Amino acid sequence: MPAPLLSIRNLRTYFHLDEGVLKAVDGVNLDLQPGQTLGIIGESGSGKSVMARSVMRLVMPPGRIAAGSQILLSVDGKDPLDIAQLPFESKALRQIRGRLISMIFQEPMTSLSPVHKVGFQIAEAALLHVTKDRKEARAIALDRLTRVGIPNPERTLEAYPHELSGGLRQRVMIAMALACRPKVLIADEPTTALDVTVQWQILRLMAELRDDFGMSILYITHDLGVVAQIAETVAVMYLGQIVETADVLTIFEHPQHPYTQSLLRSIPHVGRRSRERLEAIAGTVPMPINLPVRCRFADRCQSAFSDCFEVAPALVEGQPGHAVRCFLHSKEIEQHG
Amino acid sequence: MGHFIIRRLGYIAILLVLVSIVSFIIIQLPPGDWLSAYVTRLRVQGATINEEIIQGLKRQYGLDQPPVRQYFTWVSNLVQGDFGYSFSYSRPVKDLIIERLPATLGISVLTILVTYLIAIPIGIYSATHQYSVGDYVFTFLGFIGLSVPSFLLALILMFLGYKYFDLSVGGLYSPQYIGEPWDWDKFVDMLWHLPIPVLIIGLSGTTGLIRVLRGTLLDEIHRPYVDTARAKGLRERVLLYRYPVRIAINPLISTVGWLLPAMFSGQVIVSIVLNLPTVGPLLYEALRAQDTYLAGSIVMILSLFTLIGTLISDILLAIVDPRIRIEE
Repeated sequence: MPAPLLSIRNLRTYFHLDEGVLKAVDGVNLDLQPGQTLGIIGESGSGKSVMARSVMRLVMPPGRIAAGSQILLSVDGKDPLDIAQLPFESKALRQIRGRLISMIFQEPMTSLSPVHKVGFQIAEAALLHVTKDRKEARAIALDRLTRVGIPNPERTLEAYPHELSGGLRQRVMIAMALACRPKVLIADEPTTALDVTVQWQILRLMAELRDDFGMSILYITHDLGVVAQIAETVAVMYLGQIVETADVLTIFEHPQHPYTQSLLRSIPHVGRRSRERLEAIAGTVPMPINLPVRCRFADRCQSAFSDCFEVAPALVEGQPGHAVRCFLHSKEIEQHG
Repeated sequence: MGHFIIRRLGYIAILLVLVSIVSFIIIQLPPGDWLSAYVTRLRVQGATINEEIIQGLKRQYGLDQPPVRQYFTWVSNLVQGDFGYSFSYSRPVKDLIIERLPATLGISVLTILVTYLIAIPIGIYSATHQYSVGDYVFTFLGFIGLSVPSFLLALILMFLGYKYFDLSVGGLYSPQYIGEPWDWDKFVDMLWHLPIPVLIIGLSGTTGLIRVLRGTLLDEIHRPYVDTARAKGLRERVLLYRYPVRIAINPLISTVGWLLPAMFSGQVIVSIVLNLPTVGPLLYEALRAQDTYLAGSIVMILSLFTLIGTLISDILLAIVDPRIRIEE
């Protein structure tokens, strides 16, 4: 296996609140290979968005990336750079943002500045990293708008975001993220706010662009259907931790963690007998503040037994490429240091 | 845009007619008129005035005419640029206003500039350093500025200025220059007198602006588009001014128009306390003395400024915020 492009090691992002320390991301390990799409799936509050934002260092106080966390980026065989260690206002960090790693956000309406033209917002990224020439930056903006399949790209350059539909705005966001041909594209629920038909178009577009631009994609979503379409590898997050990770087929065909299994049972299937009730996972995701050291899913788990309420299971790779954090599959206990 | 402006100018004309009627009625509303108040004052002082003189004066001032007739005389003269005659000053209203216009506009423009120069940087600082010591200090000072009546502040500053800085307080220049022609010394003397009125008149506006800017900017700083810009690799400072500040400044631009009438009448009470030769005290006196044409003219000019100011604000806002569409 080639060296991973992005390697996240023991990432812990904590929010220091008055009520206590909210451990939004608590010890996540992930590898993103060149050209690969890694889907991160989880409910609201699972920490998947904070994890994505941590990679871009977009977490603001009271949120902090805890010491010991590593976000290693290795580009073109150079020594890996630890993004977690870079000072917040450093040039090195700005050189990564937008140039090596780009991000697409959930709400294409609010994620674009309402008072700047689309062309300016795309060209701005190019002006920061690729060229000093405004005409050239504009040409890049025009090219990216064409690439993301916007009809009438010339006119869209001069448009303001509110003049575009939701789908077009998300295409603009993608065009902006692609301005500098990044190595990694982080997509934080980019299709959640869109109609289902538009969702599908955007997903297909992203898959195409990934191959054209030779990028890796870190795709954050709560939608299993979306993951099935775009990702090769899937990591399931629950309460700030990865509970299961495997390639997409294995996750769908042989899920091992009870949480993954119930997630899968909660999606409707066309053709399933209509009398059969759709399953919902009992309870809600608790706030990850002052959590006791034990399995975090135990309270909502139908298969939980005594051990689950006393010690925390470790993430163990039972079969190659398939790791599960559950005592049903491995008795290994997570060591807390 | 052209159609919009023309239509709005039409509305302004209609509104001005309505304002002229309402203000004329309100000024006439108290019992009696300027003349009866004047006669009473003279009689109190012991003068004997018979009915014949009163009738003569009434004819002279046109007060014997029915109010509707008086109104139409006033308005038709207004349209021709004749603002009428002030009873109490025995001079044309136009001269009285023009005489006070340079000082009024000078103080107002200076106040507005100082207000913005102080408020905008502090507002940005407070929002970007929320809950820091500096933010708390400015918040504290801001609430004092908002809650202490400015005339009280005027009195305090006058006292301090007189006691510790040996400034002749009140007015725009020292007594020896009053009525003198303009020269360098008088100008320098005026510069020394400006800070107190400018600071006092500007204070509540400044603190208000700081609160508004801090509030809107705090909202904007956490908007997703800021993250988008940050994710592009922009410098924090460039980012701040190009995106959230640029948007947070919009409400300030949309209220620029309201400054126009404020510039003309200024802060009446402060101007009276500080004895400033501006239009504000003139309006106050005219209303007290039922000096119909003087008061009416100032009210009309104020209304005109308000309406034009609002129009300017609307046009400016449409220019700075593309989301605002002007209906054609």
